[in-house]
Amino acid sequence: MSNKINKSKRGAHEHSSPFLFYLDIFDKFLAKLAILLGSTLVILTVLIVFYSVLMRYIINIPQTWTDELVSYFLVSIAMFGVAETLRRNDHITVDLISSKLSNKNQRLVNLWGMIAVIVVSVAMFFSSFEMVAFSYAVDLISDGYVEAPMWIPQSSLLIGYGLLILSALNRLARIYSHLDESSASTSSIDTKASD
Amino acid sequence: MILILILVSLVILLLTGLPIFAGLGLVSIFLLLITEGQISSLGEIVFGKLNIYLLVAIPMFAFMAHVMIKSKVIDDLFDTAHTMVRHLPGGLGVATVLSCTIFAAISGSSVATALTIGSTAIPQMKRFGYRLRDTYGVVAAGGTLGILIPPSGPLILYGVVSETSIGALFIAGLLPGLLLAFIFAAFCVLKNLSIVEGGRENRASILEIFRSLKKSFWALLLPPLVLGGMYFGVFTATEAAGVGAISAVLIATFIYKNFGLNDLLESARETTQLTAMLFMILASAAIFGHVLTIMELPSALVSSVTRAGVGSIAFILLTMTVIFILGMFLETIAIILVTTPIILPTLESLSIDPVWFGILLMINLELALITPPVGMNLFVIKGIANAPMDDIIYGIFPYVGLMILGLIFVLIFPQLALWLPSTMGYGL
Repeated sequence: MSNKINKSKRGAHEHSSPFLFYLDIFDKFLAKLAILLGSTLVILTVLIVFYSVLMRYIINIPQTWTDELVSYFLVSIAMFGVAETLRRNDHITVDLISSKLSNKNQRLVNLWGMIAVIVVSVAMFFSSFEMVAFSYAVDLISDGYVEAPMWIPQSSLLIGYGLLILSALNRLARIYSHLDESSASTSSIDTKASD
Repeated sequence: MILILILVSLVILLLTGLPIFAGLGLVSIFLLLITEGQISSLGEIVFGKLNIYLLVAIPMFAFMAHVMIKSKVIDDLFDTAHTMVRHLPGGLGVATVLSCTIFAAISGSSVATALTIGSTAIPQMKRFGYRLRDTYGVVAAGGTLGILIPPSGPLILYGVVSETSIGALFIAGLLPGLLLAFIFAAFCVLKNLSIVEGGRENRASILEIFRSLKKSFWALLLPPLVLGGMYFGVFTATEAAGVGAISAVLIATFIYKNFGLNDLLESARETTQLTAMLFMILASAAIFGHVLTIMELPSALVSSVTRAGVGSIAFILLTMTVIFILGMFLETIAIILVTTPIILPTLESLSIDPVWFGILLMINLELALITPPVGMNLFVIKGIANAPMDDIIYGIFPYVGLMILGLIFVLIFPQLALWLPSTMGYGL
């Protein structure tokens, strides 16, 4: 199955317009960079939580900043992974009906799915932009021990939904141009380990 | 009526095949525009609902599970379980249930449990001549224990949404989880009683059992470390997850010696993706919950239930029926995030214990994982064994009945869920 997809992607690159080709490369680069940052934050979060446990229970010097910091990291981890998750078709869908459709109709379903993602992401992006701009303008500081300027952790929302818009637009263009034959409605089993 | 209309519209929209977070987001944004006339509060709502320390436990437990899966610990766990129970009728089936129970206490995920154990157990059961349908049934059902036996990602989400102690929820899931495991194992034994002694494997010697236990000792140590820490009040859920994650990396690197830097990065990448997938739904569900509150629908439900004179048991039965039906079409996380904010005020008004309800909900969601047409574990089995869906559904059928039996047990005897948490001070 993966061979088929690789082949179709290779074919896609061969026949895509230069704009779509570079859009795909740009989107892929940003999504990979973001997930690399997210992965780094996962490891950092594990280390910080463990450090906090050590300091609290072994050294007996509780750290006041760790809980707040890892909570901000959590938002960033989630937001830095969204674009790559979309690229890999791993966002959960209910494919009860769509999986039984013809290729032509599945393509329409995929187009509809990407339009919905774009609409929601654009709304989220602009709302997040207002939030970040406001926090920056009034110099809003977190009320915890970190005392971080709030626009910094809040910016992850802006980045995440921004990347999602880019990835969804790329995907939409590719589906529209018949360059993306993989189904948006099927996600691999192993990544749905949340259930 | 409006509530039913919204829920039906949501289900129909999701059935069109768009990502769940987008469907939930579209409905929520549309309702927010109608009720408030603007959507500028979206960012604040989402940031406020994701930036929660308790939720950090989800990626930590996921990371721990990914590390343990990569270190191939499952082969040793399955060997140990098989050595201990192989002499029983249906021994491999019992070993599968036992492995699922242990792995559930590491993975926190039903799909990961079914996938990991199934990859090892299905070929073995086929080799020993088990009926294929029975094989699929026991793996799919055993896998569901992942969300009931702690740690559990869905229990954390329920705990955060319902503002219930995650430690109490985790400990509450233990006995019902073990009860279900026992019921599944007993079914395997009873189903295979007719196999004559010669058709079974020989009983392992004490030395053999000791050797296999020694091999998987470190992997077996992880669940008591994580759960024990929480039970005795040493760690919070997030701290337990952090300690579990570090322990998993140390065990994989220094004991199993098959875990390198690439595996570490791969585990972190998979964790990031899983977190993104989950939290995008959580973000949309946060807006959905906010809109429902603005529209005062949860309080309207309380009024309707009170007016109709519905008692607590009747309400639970009604809710469980609705969730069972939703579970046929929707994914478990979406069900938790959509239904919990709606029914929570009614639970409070009827004095229904949220921990008890959470466990009933999880068992019901376990059913959702194995009931067609949308049962994730059924797809997992299909993926592993390339089996016809009819065979899988046929094999899972008895387990649906057994799970309903388990659900009824916990409904009739709430102490099954509430006794252990009460010993750690919950509800006192």
